[in-house]
Amino acid sequence: MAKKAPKIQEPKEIKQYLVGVYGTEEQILAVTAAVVQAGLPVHDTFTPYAVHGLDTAQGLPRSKLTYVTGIGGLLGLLTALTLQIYTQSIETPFWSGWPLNVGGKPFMPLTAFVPVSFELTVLFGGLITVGGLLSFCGLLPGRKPRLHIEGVTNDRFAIALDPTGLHFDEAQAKTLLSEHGALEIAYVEENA
Amino acid sequence: MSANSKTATPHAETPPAAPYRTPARLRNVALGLVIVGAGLFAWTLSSQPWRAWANGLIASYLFVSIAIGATVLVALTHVAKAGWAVVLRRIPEAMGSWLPFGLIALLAVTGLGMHELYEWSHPDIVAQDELLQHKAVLMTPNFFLVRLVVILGLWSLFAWVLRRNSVAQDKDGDDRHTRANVAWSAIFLIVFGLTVTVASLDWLMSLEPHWFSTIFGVYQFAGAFVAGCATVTLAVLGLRRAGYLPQVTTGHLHDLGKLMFAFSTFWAYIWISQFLLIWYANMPEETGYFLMRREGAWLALFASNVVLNWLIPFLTLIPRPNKRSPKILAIVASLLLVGHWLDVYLQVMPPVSHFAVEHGGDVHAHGPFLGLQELGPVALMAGLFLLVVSWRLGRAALVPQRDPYLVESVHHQQ
Repeated sequence: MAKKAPKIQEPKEIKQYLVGVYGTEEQILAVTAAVVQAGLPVHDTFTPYAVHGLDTAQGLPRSKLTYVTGIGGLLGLLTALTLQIYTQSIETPFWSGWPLNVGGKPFMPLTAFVPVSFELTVLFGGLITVGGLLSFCGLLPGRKPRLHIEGVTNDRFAIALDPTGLHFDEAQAKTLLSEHGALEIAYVEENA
Repeated sequence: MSANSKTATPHAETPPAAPYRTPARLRNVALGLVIVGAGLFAWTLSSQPWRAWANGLIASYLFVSIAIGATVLVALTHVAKAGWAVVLRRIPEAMGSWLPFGLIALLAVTGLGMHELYEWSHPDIVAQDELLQHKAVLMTPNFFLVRLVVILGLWSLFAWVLRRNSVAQDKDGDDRHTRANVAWSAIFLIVFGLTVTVASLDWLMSLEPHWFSTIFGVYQFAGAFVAGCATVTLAVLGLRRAGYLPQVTTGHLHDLGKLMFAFSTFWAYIWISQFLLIWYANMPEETGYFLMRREGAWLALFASNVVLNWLIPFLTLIPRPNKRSPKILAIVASLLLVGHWLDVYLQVMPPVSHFAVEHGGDVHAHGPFLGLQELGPVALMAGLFLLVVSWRLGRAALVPQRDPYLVESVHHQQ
C-alpha cells in the first residue's frame, strides 16, 4: 500500500494591485469612468462614504442585497406563522401545541397573528440584510482587510486595478491615473 | 449670504418650461363629466334623495381629501427641504387650489343633505336618545357647519400661501420665499394634525354617532395622503406624456412610487390597528361598525378595500423596475384611487342606507349599491377638479423657475 504523500503547502502567490489615490469625489468618479472606458480591469474602488454614481461608473451590476432582504423577510413571516399556528392550534396524536382560549376567540385567529407576523418579517428582514451586507463587503468578524490603503476610511478615494486582468497595460494605466490628479500611484500587496 | 444666493439661482440650468395650457380635449372631457354628473345627480335627487346626498358626500370628501393630501405632500417636502420634489411641486400646489372649491361643495352637500345624512341633526331622534343628548353640545347643525368652514378655510389659506410664495419666487428668485415656506409648512402641519381628526370625526364618523374610534383621524389622513400621492403621480405621468415636464426623470417617478408604496402600507397598518383593537375587545358599542360592513354582500367590498388599497399595490411595487415603469405606476395609482373611493364609500354608505331604511322609509335601501347613482357625483366633482387644477397649472410656470433646490432636483438620481 503506497504511503500517502505528505501534503505540501503550495507557496501562496501574493497578489498585487495598482492603486491610485485621490483627494476628491469628482476625481474618483472621473478616473473610474475613464479607466472603464479604456477597458482596463478594475478590481475595486474604495471611498470613505457612498459616492453616488460610482457603481454606475464602475459598471457594477445591481446589488443582490435586495434578494437577501426579501428572503429574510419571508423567512421571518414563515417563522412567525409556524410558531403561532403550532403553539396555538396544532393538535395531532404525536405532537401538539397548547391551544389557549383567549376571550372566546377561535384557536387559529389569523387576525391576532398579524402583529407578530409583521414584526418578525421586519426583524428578520432587517437583521439578515445587515448580515448580508457585512458578508458582501467582506466585513464579517474574522475577515482581514484584503487591501490596506492609507486614508480610504478618512479622506481619500482610491481605485485598484488588477495587473493580472485582461487588457492590463501598465503604462496606459499609470498615465490615466496620473492624468486625473492622483496623489499617489503604487502597487499594493494583498493581505494573505 | 442672501445677495450671493440670489446670483446663484440656477435659471440658466433649465430651459424655461413650456407654459401649460389646458388642451381642448381635456376641457371637453371635463365639461362632459360635469354635465353628465350633474344630470345623474339631479335624477338621483328626485328618485332617491338619501342616495344622492350620500354619494355627494363621498364625492366631495374624496376630492377634498386628494387636495389636502397633495398639500400635505408640498408641506412635507418644504419641511424636510426635500430637493428632489421641486420639479414636480407645481402639480400638488395646483391641486391644493381645489380646497376652497371643496369647501363650497362639502358645505353644500352637508348643509342641504344634512337630515338625510346625519342622524344627530334630527331633534326628535336626539330627544329619545340619551347618548346623542350628551353629544349634542358638539353635534348641532350650525356648529357643525361653522367647524367645516373654519377647518377647510384654514386648509385653503395655507395651501394658498404656500403656492403664492412659490410662484413669487419665480419672479424675484429670493431665498426668503423658501425659508418662509418652511415656516408656513411647519405651522400648517401642526394645524393640519389637530384639525384632521376633528374634520374626519365631523364629516364621516358622526354618520354613526353611537360609534367611536380614536384612530379614525389618522386613518382618514392615511387614505387622503395615499390618494394625494396617487393623483400627483397620475398628473405627472399625464403631463410627461403630453410633452411637458421633460425634467422629470425615472428617478422622480421612482420616488413617487416609493411614496405610494410606503403610505399604502401605512394605510394598511392603521386599518389593521383599528380593526384589531375592536376585534380583540369585542365590545358591542364598537363592533357595530364592522358588523354593519360585513353583513351580506358588503363583505365582498369590505375585503376588496384591503386588497385594492394595500395588497395589490404592496406586491406590485416591491420590485425596483416596477416603481420606475410609468405604465405600472399609472395602473397602481389608478387602483389606489379606486380603492380610496371604495374606502370612503364604505365609511358613508352603510350608515346612511341603514338610516334611510329605519327613518326614511326606503325599504329598498339594503345592501351595497353600485350604479349610475354612484358615478354621478364622482363624475361631477372629477370634472370640476380637472378644470380647476388645470386652470391653476396654467397660471404659473410648470416648474418652479428659481428655487434654490432646483439644480438638485433636476440632477436627482435614484
